Amino acid sequence: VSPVRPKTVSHLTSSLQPVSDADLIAQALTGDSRAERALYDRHVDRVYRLAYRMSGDDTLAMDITQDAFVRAFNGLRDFRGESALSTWLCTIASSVALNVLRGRKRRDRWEAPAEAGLLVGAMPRDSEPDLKTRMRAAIDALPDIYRSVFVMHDVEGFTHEEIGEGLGVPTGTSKARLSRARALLRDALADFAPEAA
Amino acid sequence: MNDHVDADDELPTHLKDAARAYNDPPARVPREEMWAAIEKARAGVAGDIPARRAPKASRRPVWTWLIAASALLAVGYGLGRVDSSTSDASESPPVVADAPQASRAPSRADALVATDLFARAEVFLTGFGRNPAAASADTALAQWSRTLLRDTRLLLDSPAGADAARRTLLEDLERILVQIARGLGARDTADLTYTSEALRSSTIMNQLRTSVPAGTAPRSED
Repeated sequence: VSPVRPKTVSHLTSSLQPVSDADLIAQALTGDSRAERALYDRHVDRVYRLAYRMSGDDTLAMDITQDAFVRAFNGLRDFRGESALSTWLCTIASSVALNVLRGRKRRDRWEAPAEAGLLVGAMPRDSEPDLKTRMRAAIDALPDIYRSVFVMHDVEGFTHEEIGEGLGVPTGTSKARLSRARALLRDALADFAPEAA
Repeated sequence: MNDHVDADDELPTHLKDAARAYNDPPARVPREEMWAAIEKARAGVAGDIPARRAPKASRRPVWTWLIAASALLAVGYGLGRVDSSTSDASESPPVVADAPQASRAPSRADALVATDLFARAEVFLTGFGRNPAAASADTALAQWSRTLLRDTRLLLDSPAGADAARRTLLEDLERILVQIARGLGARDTADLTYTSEALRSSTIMNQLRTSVPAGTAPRSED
């Protein structure tokens, strides 16, 4: 049985059928930079969105995205296809983002304990009327391990399986962290409960 | 895409809506700028040693290079002997013969030395992760972390660090070892607990494990 040769990018792009990631990966592994670019174009939006959600900063989001793609392309041969390529890319991006943010937090001496979310949320409602602003502060104040899971699941819509894979933790841990994050946020923003409003 | 196993403790709708506005990404993704940076970075990797390391290397006195080179050769030679004794004689020549090429490209000796470091780091990090608070009082552990950090940096600055995948892992390892070494030297154990959480959240342990072939025993620490 002769091995299946990957279709060339020019052939693939001229075809009316959508090109699979697997074909593009096979082509990229032969050194075809157009295939790499095609993979990049296909997935960069999701990776950038996640990076931006986690960092909240355009420059940092760009750095994280770039680093994630550089690592991904350099390690493309190690991608076994056990998960979707987009999941694998977001796995790398979340890992890079956490490293970057940890470094930044250390530098800024900005490490807030879990209770900080409660303190932020406990301010009188009159002084901070904007729920979105309060929510942002409360999420920012969450420890990284809770914040990353919350952002990935409740904000960006990742599954616990994807998060577990991305952060290198069991699915159950991802669920437990999400639950803890939600509890902290609920407490922090208790005065925004419907009855309080 | 979202699973619904957590419906019970989901946030109320008004909080959920507010959360969705958290760090809302801009509509325009700077694709071209990022692609240009990616291409540039990858070209840098292809060009062997990235420039980031150069200033550190230039500050190092010559004698440290001599010690590093002799240590690398000694370990490489030792591992090479073990390796050659277990493999077919018709296979590649002894590892020590590769040493003259070490200044140009990563050799088999580099790979063996890196594997040894990764095996030792895995053992260390596993032990540290079990009880980070207790680790703070362990002076031997502090010494061990510094030794691993030193070896990691030596490898990063050697031709062994020119391999892109290995370099990424070495840099990740360096970052975590710096945090641990700092934490072990501090009175407050909060940093160590935090580092241990970070270690659990990261993929470095998996990467280390996949980099160490089954059956590889790390050499004992001196």
